[in-house]
Amino acid sequence: MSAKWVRSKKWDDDHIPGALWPVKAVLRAFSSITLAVILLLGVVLYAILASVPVGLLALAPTYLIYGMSLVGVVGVMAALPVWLGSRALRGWPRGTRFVGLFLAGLGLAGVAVWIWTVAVWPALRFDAATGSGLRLFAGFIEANKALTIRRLPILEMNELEFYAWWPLRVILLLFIMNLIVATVRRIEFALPYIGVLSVHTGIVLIAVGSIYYSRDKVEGDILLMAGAPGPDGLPTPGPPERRFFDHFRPALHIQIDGLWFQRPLAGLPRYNDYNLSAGGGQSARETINAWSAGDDGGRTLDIAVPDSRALDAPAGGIGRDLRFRVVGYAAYAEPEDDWVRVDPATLTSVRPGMRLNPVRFYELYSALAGEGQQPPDGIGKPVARLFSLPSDPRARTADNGVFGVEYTIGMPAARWADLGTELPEGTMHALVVEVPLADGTAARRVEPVTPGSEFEVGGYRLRVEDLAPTPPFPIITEGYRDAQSSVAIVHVMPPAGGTYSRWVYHRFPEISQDLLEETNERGMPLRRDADPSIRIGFIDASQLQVFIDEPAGSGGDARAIIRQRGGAVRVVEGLKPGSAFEIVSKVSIGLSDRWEHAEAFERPSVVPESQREKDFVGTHGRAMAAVEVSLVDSASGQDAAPMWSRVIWLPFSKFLGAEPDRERRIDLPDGRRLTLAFGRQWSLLPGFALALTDFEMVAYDHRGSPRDYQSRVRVECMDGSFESFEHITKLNNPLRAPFMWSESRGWLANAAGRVASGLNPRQFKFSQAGWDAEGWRQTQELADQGIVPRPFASFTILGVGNNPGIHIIAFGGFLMSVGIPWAFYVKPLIVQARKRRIQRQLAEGTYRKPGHARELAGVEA
Amino acid sequence: MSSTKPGILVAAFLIISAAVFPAIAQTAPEGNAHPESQMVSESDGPLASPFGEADWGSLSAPESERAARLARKIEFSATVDLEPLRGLAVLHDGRVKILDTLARETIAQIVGRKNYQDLVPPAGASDTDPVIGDKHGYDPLFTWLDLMIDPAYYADRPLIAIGFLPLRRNFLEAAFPGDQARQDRWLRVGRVTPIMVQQFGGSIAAERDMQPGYDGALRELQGALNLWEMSLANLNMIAPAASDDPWTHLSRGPESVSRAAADLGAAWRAGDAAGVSRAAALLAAELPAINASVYPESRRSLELAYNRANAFEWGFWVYFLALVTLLIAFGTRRKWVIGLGVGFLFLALGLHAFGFTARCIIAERFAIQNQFESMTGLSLFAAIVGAAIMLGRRQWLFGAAAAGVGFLVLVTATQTAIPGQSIEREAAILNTSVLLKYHVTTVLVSYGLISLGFITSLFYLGTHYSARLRGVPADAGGVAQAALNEDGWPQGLARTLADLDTAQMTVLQLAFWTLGVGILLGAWWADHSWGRWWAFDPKETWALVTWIIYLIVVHLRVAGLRDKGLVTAWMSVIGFFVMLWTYFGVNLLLPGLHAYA
Repeated sequence: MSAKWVRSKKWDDDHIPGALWPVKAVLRAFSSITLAVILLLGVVLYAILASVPVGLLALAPTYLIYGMSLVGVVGVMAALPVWLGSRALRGWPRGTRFVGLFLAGLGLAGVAVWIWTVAVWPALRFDAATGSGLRLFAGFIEANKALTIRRLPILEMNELEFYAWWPLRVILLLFIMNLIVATVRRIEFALPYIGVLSVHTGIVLIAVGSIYYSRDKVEGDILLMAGAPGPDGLPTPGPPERRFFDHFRPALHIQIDGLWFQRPLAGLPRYNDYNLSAGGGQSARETINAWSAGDDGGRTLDIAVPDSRALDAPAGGIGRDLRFRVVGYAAYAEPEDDWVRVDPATLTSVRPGMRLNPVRFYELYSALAGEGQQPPDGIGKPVARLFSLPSDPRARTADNGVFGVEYTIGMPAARWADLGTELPEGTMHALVVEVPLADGTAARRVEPVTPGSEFEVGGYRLRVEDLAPTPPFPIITEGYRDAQSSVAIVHVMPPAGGTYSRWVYHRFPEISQDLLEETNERGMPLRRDADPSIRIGFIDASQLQVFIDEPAGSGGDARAIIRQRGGAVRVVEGLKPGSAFEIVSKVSIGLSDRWEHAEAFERPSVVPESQREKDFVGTHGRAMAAVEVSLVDSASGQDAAPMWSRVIWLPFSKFLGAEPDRERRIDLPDGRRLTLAFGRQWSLLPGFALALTDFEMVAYDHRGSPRDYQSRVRVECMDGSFESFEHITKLNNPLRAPFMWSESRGWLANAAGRVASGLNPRQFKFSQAGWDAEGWRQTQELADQGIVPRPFASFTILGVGNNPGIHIIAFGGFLMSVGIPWAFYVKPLIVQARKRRIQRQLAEGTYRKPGHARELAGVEA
Repeated sequence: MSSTKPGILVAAFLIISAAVFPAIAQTAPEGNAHPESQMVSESDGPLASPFGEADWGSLSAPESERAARLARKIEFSATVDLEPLRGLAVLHDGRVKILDTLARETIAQIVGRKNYQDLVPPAGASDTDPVIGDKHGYDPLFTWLDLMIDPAYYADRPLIAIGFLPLRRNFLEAAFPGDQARQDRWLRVGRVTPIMVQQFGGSIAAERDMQPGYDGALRELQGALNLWEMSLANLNMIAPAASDDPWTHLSRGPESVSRAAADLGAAWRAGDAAGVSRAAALLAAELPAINASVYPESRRSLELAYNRANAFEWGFWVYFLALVTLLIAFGTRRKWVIGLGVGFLFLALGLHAFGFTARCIIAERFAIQNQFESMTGLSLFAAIVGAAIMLGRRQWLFGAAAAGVGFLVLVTATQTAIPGQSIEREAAILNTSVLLKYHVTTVLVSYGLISLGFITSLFYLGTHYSARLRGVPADAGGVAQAALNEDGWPQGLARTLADLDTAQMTVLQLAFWTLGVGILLGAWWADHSWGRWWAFDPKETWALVTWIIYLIVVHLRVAGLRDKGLVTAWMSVIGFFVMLWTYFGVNLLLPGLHAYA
């Protein structure tokens, strides 16, 4: 017990009246070490809850039993015999007895462990596949092995949010009070305690620095692009960039009239799904059981996106009649295309004259017998459901490589006739060629072909160059982009000369093209629409094909062509909704639901837990947010009932503008078009911009793994406050700006600048955070071939962060680091020296007690 | 007033900083993780076998031939001389290593143990089923070459290890449906044949991929199968002209090398051991002469010595001997036993230090940058500190503590699946920071001290409770009372306990300080490199929790407890297990930024 503590207690007794005993009790409690230990244990428990999944915590009793079983076996087989032996051998010499018992104990313990390993452990060990063995709460553990408390829907906190939550704040507040009170009432202010005082000072500095630090802390990253390739093939310096994105402050980005605006999204979930069916009506994919909304636990979401007009400056804003709310959230999902049924009557008033997008559903029936079963009656049982969008060339077919179904409305008569043409047995591909003649008739020829086939029709000579199952180049015709079809490439030699190649698509004869021998300035052949003086149709009979068509004016009745692999063909007319027709023996197609109109709708497809990358969990990085866009009467305010609203799911976009495929457009009824993105809040660097002038990845010898990444960056001053400079940012060697230690300044000026910049929240540090690995790999190959002088990257990503007050914190840490060893190792030496001195003085009779010690002499007595 | 009061304050403000921080998590910068291992090297086109085409015809050989082939293989392996090849350099997984190392790594990956063993059936019995009887183990380099030259031999032999028991059962149930006896025999072997993997792997993977535990097991299996099928791709043995360029595959070497490799393959297939030895010697002469300025020289010899010495495994056995001997010395006080124990301890330290130093030189870095390396480093430091205390205080029990730490840590590092046993390139973020090396080293030193304190505390507890069992009051403060009970011995016991208590406190205080400094150094580096000095990453959090445990330990000393030594010893045990969780559990089970730790 320290003398100061004795004095403090005496002061309490002398100055706090009996009626104020609660004050005294609290004062004593906050002076105690016991309370400090209890509060520290509270912090430990809090940390356990914050970081360890509950499934792992639930494993503790099981492992305790495992451990106890081992201890039990060793205890019974080794410790007990040794104990008995020690009693039996009491008369033996000590050394002999010790050696005997020690070696016996060691041997018996080894045997006990071996017995436990072969006899007990196999029975206890839990086998996840069979469920055998011992694991208490196995189901709970499996279900919650990745669930920490903070991820529960009622919390939805990442680690720092959980640590910043009020329960820990309360514990820490109490602890600090305990600390201060105990320090003041127990610690002497004297030389031996200078270590403690250093630590105190350090703590105060850290506390002050932390508060300052946290007030203005900003953290994010910036994408710097390289410039266009120069004459040597290497990129030129990239454009200056001022905009950086905050790491974890999500935002809704809205583009209107070419300008982007951002709205912060506060309170967004992180770990759980909410209202996964938001915005979706009757789903085409769900109708055929190809999509499920997933399990959102019935949780709903409604986060109002604030009308943060301050963020819109100087652009002016996006209009008060627009309202945005987040009404759904998928924590880890991939966007998936779907079509949602829409009543056309609800649309025509908004968009008169729009083209409908009908949907046709059909089912595949099988009357084949299963293993050991009787074949079902009639056409059999449905084995698959499919749908087509007859108006959309990309979605009007279903093709699995074995057979294809194409559903059209109003197929042109010429194509119907081509497809219905019987071919010689064994034919896999054929061309149907028609050449209009001068007398108004046409020369027509149906020719089975293979690559290299040549034949003549109406004076035209044709040679088949290729029959490709998929287009050699993606189709880019508007409305057909990326559609799939087999294609015949036919070299056409007209009687009048001027040869060309015609690309004839099996499924899209309407977009056949001629590639001429003349080339454009890039050396590519000129293209034109197919010359109408010769019509070429392509029949792909290499697999079973079913063509269903609703002729114009048929009132919904359909007809079908069933074309077997190898040429045989059958036509079925007059198919009513609900009717079926056989495509091969005991396999039929039945026509089912019809939707008059459907609209494309992108929705989240939730990624299973086991396939999620841990680094992205809880970061929004793989999340999708459902945003409801509403039109409201601007005079009535943002809370008024909407006149129109629509929900759109937005995938997360890390760098706005760099990932246009993750932005989504929405057309308002009044003709305005918005582009939306779910991403991160951006800020501008204060008074300067960065430009990438060069990048190098330094590999280990022999092109091993990367050893360093070096971005040469130019810091361009925008306001004249400093001189622009260049710096190479490497791993562990960040760029500092606007102030950077410079050889051109004196040491003192640099040091002063460094200290001042340490307090300045507008001073930033830029660390190497990402790079264009794929670009580097590709250009390395080009460099190996001598096409470019060296490999290069087309972008780099730098981490951005300010550290206001960090020097204060660092100095506090330094004081703590030196204060602890003083307290542990120096103070005892000083105390011992003092004791020796006092003993010497006592022996000499020259000792005098310090004043306060004399005062306390009576108390201690 | 306690001298440890500052500890509370330090903890307070390290923790309270969390309360004033905005809620922002931290992201890992580029180069923060160890480079991904690439067991099969990439190639820029199809590669021909430098040893000639493998003979797959033997797959269809009659069963009666199997025993004869096995006998021939054993005889051939015994007579062939592969020593000239063992030290040849090869570029693999981003590092120039020697063939012996690559062979050891490859075989360990495929077979799940250090070498491949053929099961030798009793005379007259078939070996189509594994019979637990005689086993014949092969040199890993022999097996690796044999897998490339005569892969058919292994196609229907238990080659590929499957550690995950349910998956092994799935294969055996598919291979031997309804034959429980055969399944049990194969189950005990722990390996399956490549044919089984190829026949049933696809369907089992499709069926089980999503079940708990299968994902990792199937990935390992695929890796082993790749190595069996594609090890040839790893023969990048022709040095380039410049260190920036990659090494070239053996099949693309100069004519003389190609001929020697082809001769080796032909002689191998013919069972001509002398021919193989001649070709191997020729290769060993030719390859180092190609671009000799880039071809490594002395480092190859050191790596070979490192492989052969197996210093860490010998080290733990000698530590064990030292532990036992010094404990006996503690009990008997015989000088010759003490001398023997100390001798064993220093021999173990020598082996340990050799292994660690050699690894540093081979890896061309301070080898503490994965879990295996950090374990060997921290245990070496702890053992040296323990030995120093032993010599300083002439208390041999501290030598036993040092040996105990060395034994426990090395046996864990070498005999369990601790990641990082192969020497690999370090994460770029580690390579470029001196500050980070100080941080990691300081924290590892503290872990070593915690381990030493733990063993010392175990000795305290053992001494305390064994005395209690014998009815002797054993607390360090009860010297006077103990003196009345038994002549001579209790005073010694009390002195021993007092010494142990002083030792455990000395070690734990030092651990407490170094861990604190290590954490602060980490915070400094994190601010420099990650942009935030404290982010409550799980590793940071648990390092702080570990530190708080020792903070409590040192404060309980002044809390008016009756038996401070006993409480300290128990807290030291608890703290050790918390440290283990921080060291292993956090890395393996909790995602965080300390991917390399």
